Amino acid sequence: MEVHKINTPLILGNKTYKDITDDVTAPIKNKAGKLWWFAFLLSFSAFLAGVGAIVYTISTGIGVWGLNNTVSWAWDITNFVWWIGIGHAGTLISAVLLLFRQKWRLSISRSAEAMTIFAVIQAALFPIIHMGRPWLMHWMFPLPNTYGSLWVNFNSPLLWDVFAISTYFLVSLMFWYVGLIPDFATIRDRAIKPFKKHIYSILSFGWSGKAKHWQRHEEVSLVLAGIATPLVISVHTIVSFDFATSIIPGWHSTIFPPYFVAGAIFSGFAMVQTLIIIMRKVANLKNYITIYHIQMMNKVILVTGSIVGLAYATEIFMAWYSGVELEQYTLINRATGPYWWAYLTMVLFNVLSPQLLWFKNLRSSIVFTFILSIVINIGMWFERFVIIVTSLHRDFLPSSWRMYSPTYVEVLIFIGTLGFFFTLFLLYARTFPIIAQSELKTILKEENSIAKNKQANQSKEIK
Amino acid sequence: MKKDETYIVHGLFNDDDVLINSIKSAQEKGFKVKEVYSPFPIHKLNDVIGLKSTRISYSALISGLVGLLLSVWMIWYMMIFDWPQNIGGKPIASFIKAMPAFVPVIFEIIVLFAVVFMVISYFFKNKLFPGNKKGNPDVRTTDNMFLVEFILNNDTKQIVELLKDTGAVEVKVFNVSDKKEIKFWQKSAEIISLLMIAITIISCNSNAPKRNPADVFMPDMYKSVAYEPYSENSMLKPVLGTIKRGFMPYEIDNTLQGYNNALASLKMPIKQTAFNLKQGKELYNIYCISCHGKNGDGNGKLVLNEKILGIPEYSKTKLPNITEGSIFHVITYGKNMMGSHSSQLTATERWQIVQYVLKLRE
Repeated sequence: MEVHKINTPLILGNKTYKDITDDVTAPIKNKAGKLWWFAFLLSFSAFLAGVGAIVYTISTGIGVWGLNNTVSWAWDITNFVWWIGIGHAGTLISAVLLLFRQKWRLSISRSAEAMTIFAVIQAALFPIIHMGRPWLMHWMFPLPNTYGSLWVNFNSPLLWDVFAISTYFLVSLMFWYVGLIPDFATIRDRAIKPFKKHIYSILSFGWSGKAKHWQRHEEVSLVLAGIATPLVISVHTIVSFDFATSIIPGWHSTIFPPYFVAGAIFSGFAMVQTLIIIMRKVANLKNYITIYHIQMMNKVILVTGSIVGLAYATEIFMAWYSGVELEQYTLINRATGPYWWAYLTMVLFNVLSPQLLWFKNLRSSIVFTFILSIVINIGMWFERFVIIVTSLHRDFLPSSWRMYSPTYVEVLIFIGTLGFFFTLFLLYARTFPIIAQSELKTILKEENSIAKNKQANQSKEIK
Repeated sequence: MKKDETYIVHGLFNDDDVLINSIKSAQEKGFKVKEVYSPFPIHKLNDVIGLKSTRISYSALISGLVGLLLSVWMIWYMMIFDWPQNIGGKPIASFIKAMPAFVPVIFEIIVLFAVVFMVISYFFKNKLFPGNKKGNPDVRTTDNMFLVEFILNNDTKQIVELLKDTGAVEVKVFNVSDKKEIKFWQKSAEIISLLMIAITIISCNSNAPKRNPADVFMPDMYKSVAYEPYSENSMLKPVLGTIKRGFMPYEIDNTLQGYNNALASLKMPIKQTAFNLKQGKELYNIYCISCHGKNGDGNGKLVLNEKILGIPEYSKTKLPNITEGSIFHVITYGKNMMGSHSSQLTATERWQIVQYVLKLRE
């Protein structure tokens, strides 16, 4: 059997199978602490504020936003792309790292997948709100209708988005749930209160853990990972087509798909870091989510951050090399025009700050990683803002150049989605098995022997 | 113990390697393992108890192919056959030519079908569904215990001793006649009752006219907060006579007088060349074909599918009186049901189509 050669155990503290079960089910058994209730009430009230702003927008009209005829897409699409990008890390961790047999994914995959699903929910809200009449949402789908059956337009990237995001959501949800079933069964069998037992027995679909079932489970997980890998790449590619297939300078570019995919993974991993660092402390999972895990994720952040930096440089090069005056103007306007501060934030936060991860002591510092992960998410939000607003606000006709600033309604909707996301995540952290414990048990013996060897070597060196 | 009774023997282990060794020595003695319950997948076990490799992934392949065929058929039916829409001058009469734009949706549908049907067949094969209460024979098998199950017809003494000797923590023997069979309808009674409650609640909604129809809860977009384009206070209207760059206005009016004028005197400004004819054909096959048909006989897709009716055949015998001028005039302004095409086609392109239409008339 292939043992990962690096002499770093993924599970610390010489755990047993029983310890893993107990540690993972502890947050479900115990009552919530004050901190949890504080965080929950905070995010829930942010969510309610967002709901209010959404109802106001829909009942009054999109006119309550800061959009105008020139900048017809801004805050909502920025948030849409930001959220959907964050979602990508979950699939990457659980699918791509499974194909690459990266075992460090096991302790973080469950929460990363949860993050994916909750982030896609937030992302999907924005196009639905932007429709203005969300009760006609089903018009997005190719359904027979009374207008002679006027069909949807399959040439449109916006329709591709409808298919990509709904497929992505369903596939992520199924992938997540297939993995959750055995762990729900573990909670079902540990539950003492009848109500809890009843709920988890419904959720666990009557899982028994027979050998044949496990064999199918592994096969299904592998095939799902194989399918989810091209899917995750296709989703953000299609999101980037929303821009790249248009003729707006700064959008009309073939670099968009790889650039968006790398940016999505970059921001997604940053969000995983933010959540994981809090979770390992609050739920006491330091033995499962180790410094090594955080370091590995920081390496992914470093690589994808560098790809994003390369993409920015390529945009500059292509503007010069293409000789297209509009492209050159757009780029200069981005960096030095009225929105220069957004561009500067984007470059500082996305290109320069992750380069600090080349230093090992920064890479393995939890405080630094936590701050950096938030910095990157702010930077990636500004990236989308820069792409969308600075390309639109000065279009082909100088007489219609306009500035854009969000209204309080737009800001509240964004805060609302943050609240919704954290509400869902906090509920998840108290009711779901936050670590894929049955999968983690498969590597326990191996990791314990690695830990033992390491200890033995260290004590030899001391002698 | 009677000889013809069946017994179930459960051996519980707390280590996967001990379990496998115990199974091996039981197999050497000729015992057949009925089932193994474990808290996590054990790869070594599959070979030991002789599990065949699973074929569950074929369901993904098959349903993916079904998704491919269905999505191609659906898009062909909607975009090419039933109602070819002219969108941004993209080719609409041929699926192959228009196909690149359909690839993203086809891909997503393949993925959706493959995943959904594979997961459903996985649930089906493993008999996993909400409300299934069967589960595992011992609650500890989802924690740290491994359970091996044997079914025997005769004396159980030998296997019990063997399991204990090879490291079983606990061995249990059941007489099968003690176990109650739970019928399927009992298991699903819960789901059915929930469904019935849901249906009852939904059907409570009566159709009596309670609401005042004059109330508009969300009058959005009818009364927009933002200024409408070109409304008062919004933007300066362009100066009278403003035209876009490179555009030559068409002097003849959109009136009957103007039509007769064009019919009589408007002449083609471009030359009759093979290139112009070829361009005209390509443009005709994008912008005109869905109504006027491939040969100009008025039998386009939209006519055949009865979306639009009453389109004339413009052959020389049916419409002898039209000229190049009048054809250009009609493409520019439209006539009766036909809309104006001047925003989609430049004047030159319209003349190229005229050349092709003249050819079709013959």
